[in-house]
Amino acid sequence: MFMKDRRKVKIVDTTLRDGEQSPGIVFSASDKVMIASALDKAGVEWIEAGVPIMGKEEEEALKHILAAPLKAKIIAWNRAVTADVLASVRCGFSYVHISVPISDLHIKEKIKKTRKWVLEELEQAILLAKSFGCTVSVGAEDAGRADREFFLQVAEVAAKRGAIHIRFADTVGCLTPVSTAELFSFLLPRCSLPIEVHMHNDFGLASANTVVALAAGANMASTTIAGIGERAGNAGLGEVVMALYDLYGIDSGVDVGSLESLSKLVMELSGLPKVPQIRFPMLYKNPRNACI
Amino acid sequence: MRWADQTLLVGMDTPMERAKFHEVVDNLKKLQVTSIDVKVRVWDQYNLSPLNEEQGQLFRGIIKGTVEEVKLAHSLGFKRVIVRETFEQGDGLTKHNIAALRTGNKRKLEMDFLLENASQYSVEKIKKIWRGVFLAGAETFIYNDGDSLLHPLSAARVLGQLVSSMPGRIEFIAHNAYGLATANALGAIQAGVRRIGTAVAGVGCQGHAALEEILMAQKHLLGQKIGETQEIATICKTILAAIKVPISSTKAIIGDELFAHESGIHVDGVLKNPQLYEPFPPEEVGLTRKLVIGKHSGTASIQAKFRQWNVVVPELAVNKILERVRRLAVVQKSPITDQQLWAIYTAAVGE
Repeated sequence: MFMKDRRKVKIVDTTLRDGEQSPGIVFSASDKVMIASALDKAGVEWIEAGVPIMGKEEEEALKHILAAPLKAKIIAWNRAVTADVLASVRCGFSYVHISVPISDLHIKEKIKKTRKWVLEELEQAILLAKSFGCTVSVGAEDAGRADREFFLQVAEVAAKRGAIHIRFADTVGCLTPVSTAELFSFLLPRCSLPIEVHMHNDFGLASANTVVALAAGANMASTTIAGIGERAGNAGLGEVVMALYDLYGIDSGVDVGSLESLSKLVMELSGLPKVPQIRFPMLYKNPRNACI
Repeated sequence: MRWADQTLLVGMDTPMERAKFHEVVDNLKKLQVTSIDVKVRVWDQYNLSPLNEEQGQLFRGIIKGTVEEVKLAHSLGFKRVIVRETFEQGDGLTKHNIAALRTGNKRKLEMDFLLENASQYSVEKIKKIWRGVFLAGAETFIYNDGDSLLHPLSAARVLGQLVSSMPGRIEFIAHNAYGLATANALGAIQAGVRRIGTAVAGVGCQGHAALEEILMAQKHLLGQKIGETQEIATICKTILAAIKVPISSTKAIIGDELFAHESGIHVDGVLKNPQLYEPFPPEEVGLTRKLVIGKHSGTASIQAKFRQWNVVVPELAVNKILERVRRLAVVQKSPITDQQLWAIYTAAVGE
């Protein structure tokens, strides 16, 4: 198969946002710029850089990234809350991600509202962001435990208001590869927007669920370098990129040669002890014949 | 389900201390593995005494497919033997392999056959090889994806075809070059395979499906009953320490920091209902929940932390504290310690 014939997908890297939420990891402003630049150089087109509403230090770091000469689109993460969106706008973001919880568990227990309320808040937030000229993507939190029809409804509402894609977030990592394949063959033909898959690694399945969903036809996937992130982490950039190329013949646009240095950079900056089992393609570490 | 443990094999190759051997085996038994695979030559090198009856049921000795190796295994007391071969392209069973299998049968050993690079072969070729192996007296065909060529759906498809069309037993050992081992093993399980090779934390040169991940996935994602799990994190870490393989503090299922929540939204959620952001409670695997104060904290985190000390932080002070916490966290590049937090609190309420 020639390179130009390969199916293409896009990586949305969230090392600087979800990755940094990993216990004990803090990136300084210059760390964030370094990582963003390295991702950009490696061919990553979407970089979710942080959460402006988190405060002054975060805003400062984000402004530095926005000022850097990067080709990638730099995204701010927001709840569907006016203050969040305004903070992103003030920070200078053109790309804004607006996340709403969509499982009944989250809607009832976390925000104590209704599905209707969620849709209304989402619409208002999208309109607000767009009124400032932002490009908006929408996030469906806890989609892994949500009613699939409601996910489609959220996508429809978001599409009507001009969002460009919707993130399916398996917030507690409870999908299996088989259920992911089934779910996405159902969702993809019915969804009003392209889907970005965002998987978590609680059962060691984040990278696997990600590549299965992409193979089923999803266009975009969230990753973090070395799979860092909440609890057991996210889909690992290296694992996903290599599996896509080698096992599925899918082109993610990411330079394979940069994967190892990206991992090393994040491990150094995060201050995490260098642990061999950190999630990175093993084929980089152990040549096949060393293992037989 | 039958779990064929590969952890000891990895440990003995590392090499681990001979003194730790029994500690590892005792703990693997607590994890309810049905067999523990070891290389016969390495067993010999470690100078381990001949297997007793219980060990004969538990351990499977891996050998190359020669009569000499079968005899060695037998003399060491192995009752279960795995003939392990890597075929070059176009190869099949040799007369040595067949002689080895037959010799084992004659000595009443349980003989299994492992094809190390099985995923390089088509399903049809595998069936052909398996027929020859089965006729020569092997009981289990072990499909080893040595090159990590499978992904979850192809694993399900290939292994599903084999399990439904072949005589005898089929076992699947997944590898982890692309981070897919656990997923591939789950795919095989869902396609009907009942014998799976695993290792604690998926350790190994090219990795394995992680036993603790599969057990918990079976319980929570496939709705199947498994044994007790409250000790699983401790047991796994004991084994890993004994074989001297370190793991990340956020290793799925058993990492110490898995339930250390820092993000304001997550802390707020977990305080309302832990199920919002936890796939299972930490106690279920023997871990504990922690509240981390750092860059990502919100007001709920601050209040919750002080509530642990029976202190209610005045409304006006919370935001001031939060601001200083965030600044300090970025400067020192680590979470805020309890002492640091108290100092910030004292200064803030004093103003």
